[in-house]
Amino acid sequence: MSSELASFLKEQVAEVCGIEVDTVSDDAKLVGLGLDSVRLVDLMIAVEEEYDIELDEQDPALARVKTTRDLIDYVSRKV
Amino acid sequence: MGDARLDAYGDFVKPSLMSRLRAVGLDVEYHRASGDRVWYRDESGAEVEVLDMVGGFGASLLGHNHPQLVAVAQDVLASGRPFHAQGSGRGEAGVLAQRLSERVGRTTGQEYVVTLANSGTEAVEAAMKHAELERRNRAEGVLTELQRTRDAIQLGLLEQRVRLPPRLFKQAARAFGVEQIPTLSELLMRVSRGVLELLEQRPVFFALEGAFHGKTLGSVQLTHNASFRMPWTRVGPRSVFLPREDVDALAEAVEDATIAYRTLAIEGGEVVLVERAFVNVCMAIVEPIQGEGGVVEIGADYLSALRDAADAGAFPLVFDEIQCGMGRTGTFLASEPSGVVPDYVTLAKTLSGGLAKISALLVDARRYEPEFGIAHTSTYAEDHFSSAVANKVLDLLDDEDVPARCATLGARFRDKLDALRARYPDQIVDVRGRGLMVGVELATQEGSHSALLRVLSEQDTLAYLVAGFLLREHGVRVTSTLSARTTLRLQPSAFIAEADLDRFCAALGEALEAMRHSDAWTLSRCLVGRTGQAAKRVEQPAPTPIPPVPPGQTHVGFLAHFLEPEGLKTWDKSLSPFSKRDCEAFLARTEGAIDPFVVARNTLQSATGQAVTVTVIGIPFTPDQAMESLRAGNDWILELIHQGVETARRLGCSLLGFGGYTSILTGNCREVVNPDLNVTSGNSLTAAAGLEAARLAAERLGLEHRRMGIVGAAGNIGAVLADVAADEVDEIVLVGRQRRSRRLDRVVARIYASAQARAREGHDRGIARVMADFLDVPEDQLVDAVNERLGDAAPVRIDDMSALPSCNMVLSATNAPRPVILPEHISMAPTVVVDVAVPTDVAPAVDLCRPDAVVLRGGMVRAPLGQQLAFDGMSLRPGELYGCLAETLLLGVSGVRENFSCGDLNAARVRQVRELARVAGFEIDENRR
Repeated sequence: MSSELASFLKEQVAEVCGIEVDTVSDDAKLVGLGLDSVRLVDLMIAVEEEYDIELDEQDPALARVKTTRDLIDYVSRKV
Repeated sequence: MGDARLDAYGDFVKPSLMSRLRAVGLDVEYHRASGDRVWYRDESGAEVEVLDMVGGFGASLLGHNHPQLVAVAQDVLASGRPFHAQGSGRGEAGVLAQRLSERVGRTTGQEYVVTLANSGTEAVEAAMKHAELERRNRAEGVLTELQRTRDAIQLGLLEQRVRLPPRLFKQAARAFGVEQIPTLSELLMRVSRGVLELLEQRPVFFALEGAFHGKTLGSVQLTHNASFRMPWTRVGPRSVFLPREDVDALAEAVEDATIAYRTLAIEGGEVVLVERAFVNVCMAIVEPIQGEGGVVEIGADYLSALRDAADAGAFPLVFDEIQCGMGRTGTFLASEPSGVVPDYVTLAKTLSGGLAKISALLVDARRYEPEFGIAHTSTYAEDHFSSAVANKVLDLLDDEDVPARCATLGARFRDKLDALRARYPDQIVDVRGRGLMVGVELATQEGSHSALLRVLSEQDTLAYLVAGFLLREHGVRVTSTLSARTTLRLQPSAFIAEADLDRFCAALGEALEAMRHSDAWTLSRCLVGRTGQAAKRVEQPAPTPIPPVPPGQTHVGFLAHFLEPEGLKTWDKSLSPFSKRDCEAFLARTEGAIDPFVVARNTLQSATGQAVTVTVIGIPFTPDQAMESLRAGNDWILELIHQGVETARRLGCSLLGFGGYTSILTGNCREVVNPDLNVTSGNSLTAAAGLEAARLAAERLGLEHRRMGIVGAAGNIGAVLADVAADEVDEIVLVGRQRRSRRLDRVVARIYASAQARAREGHDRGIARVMADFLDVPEDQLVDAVNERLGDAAPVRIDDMSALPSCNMVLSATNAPRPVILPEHISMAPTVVVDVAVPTDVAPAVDLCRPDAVVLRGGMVRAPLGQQLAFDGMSLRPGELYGCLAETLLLGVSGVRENFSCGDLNAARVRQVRELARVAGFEIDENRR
């Protein structure tokens, strides 16, 4: 489950930021990859549609998400 | 000679600066200048020639009064040209601007539009204004872009070339954090609102730590020195100071100043929401070689990083070449060797040849906002006179090959200074700069054996003393840089003779030699009129290190001052060749110029096992100066005392004792009551100790009927001494400055009232014994009742000094700066004389002429358990403490947390402190002097 989630998230990050999926390493800073607030919304909508859950952009825990790994941890707690 | 003019300058122009100049002997007026020479007249009216290494803070690169510049200036003045002709074509300014553009463009390859102004800071202000204009246009461009996109979307929708994906509204609602955004117009409204908010955000200016860009309201916010900038932060533009050479910090600062906003775009036929970044920075400004920050060169890599950041953020990079530019460092722009090209350049100083007031802002023509020339104008700018002088300066820079001269001379000067540094590694930390822009950073002398040099070094003012020495002893003029006060700035002209560079190095070498030997005498003898006088160098031991305060320990402070002018020599033995008059002259000259400083720190144990650490804070003034300051109504000493209080608070003291005149000048601490710090004058224990000493001596001498004269009885200590003495003595004679004084009447009334109360408690000694007959008299009628019934035999009387010889005990506690009790005031019979005053009230002649008198230093207390605390610079015998110092320590060990002796003393406090002292083991003995 979690490795599947991880690859899904990496693909989506690559998709919304318009970059190669190889560049989305676990330790990469999401801001550095170009994940701005609008692209984050795109990503969250994609996650919601794939896993049929609801996410909240205003969640304070989301503000602490800095790297790909943080994102995977965050989403895996919600799924 | 000329003093009235200097006084006028001090009184009407720069009061604070003038007193500082006086303090170190820089108070001269130069009346003539040529090349690298300036002249002043000494007291006799004779001209003194001075080698000027200051060079008008860098303005006189061509030397003072260069003949060709003077000729141009004279020609213009004689030609009858209009001095100002605003709103017309300014030909000379045009020629100058074109030449500046070409001269700078020679290395940058760019063309510039030049804004002329009158001073360096104005050129910086102009840069700030132009940069903000650029930034505003950039921000408004975001809005314009959005409007264009909106039109394109609407047209595209109409023509069915553009689609609104349903996902867009869901995404936008979530991005904006709202329930839903149902329509395109609402989406556009939200996006526009975000962009408008961006326009409201206050921008920042980037400058470097250590930067100096001027002192006017805008530019001063780009000047790093907090004391120049802070008072005006609220009313000035926002600035961010970047640490020099730190590329990561630069990136972080750009990130912090970046605002993200959302806008719409058309991508692949679909309207999409996108996030964009706006770098809300007006400009980054840097001196390629910092001047006032201590002559610090900025590395090419860092300048290049600034260039990249400016390009990425679309803000201009400004090189402030006001001080370092125009040839001084070996190239026309100091930034040339870095290869980094700025967008704006500011020039001044050399541009004027020192003769005119002119500065210039060069803006890359591609960036120049044409409306700026209308928005930004000045009455005096672009005038023919300044422009003509500046044009001649440009001629001379080329004709005389000034940059090359600066490079060659600068290299030679550098070699000489490096040699000096090698010889005095403990006195020179660094030699910096390029060409003829040189800084010599003096090393801290905080380990000096000379207390004066140590304190000046701690207070960052040692370089001023050195500047005074160089001027008065060697006829060499230097100053330190404004923001790095330990760095001497050396900016001679491009025509300085090599022999002059040698002369400077030899003079500086002598100052360094004196510093090496902790020799404050050599450096300060010129301040007392002993210029050039030889004296045997007095070696002194290394100072006792100031230990840290043990954690958790009670920490008290104590303010002390010189008790006499020659205390200066006790404090700093290297000043031993000073006579008393020299000491007075030195202290008068430096009044207010030396801040309070830590003299000593010691820890004391009480007999009951409590410990207290005391930090003695010295304030350099004498009792005579205090009296003079009171008389003249000026408050420089009070100002220093307030600083001393602040020092104690900063050091974490919980209680502060006020020694000597510091309590007198503050109304016995009333004026310094402070919520963070308890204060005490220490006078309660001083009084108790005086009385105790008198009692012990009287017992030893076997004095039967005790008649005590109290001198200074109208004063605070004197009045309380009388009140408490009434417990023991049979008669009291109160002596004040005036025989009839309401204050003395009140003292009499209080003595009777308190003696009556003591009699009621059964006390049957002293005045209370007499009061046993007056127990029924109401308190407010006591004085009249006693005088009526006993007449001349009343136990308490008011008299003058002539009554003293009838007393067999005399206590003196005046605030007089000089002795008031002379031999004729003391009886030939055995008499106890206790001197509670600091400085002393009893003339030394009394000991000689009255062999039967026992003269005691009252108010002295011995530390508990035989402890001998050493206080450098204070004249105390081993184990001895001033009463006021002892009270401060006593309150510390006793855990008393209040303003103990503050304002008028009272007898209850004196009795209380006597008891506390007994418990803590402080001893009072006769202390014969």
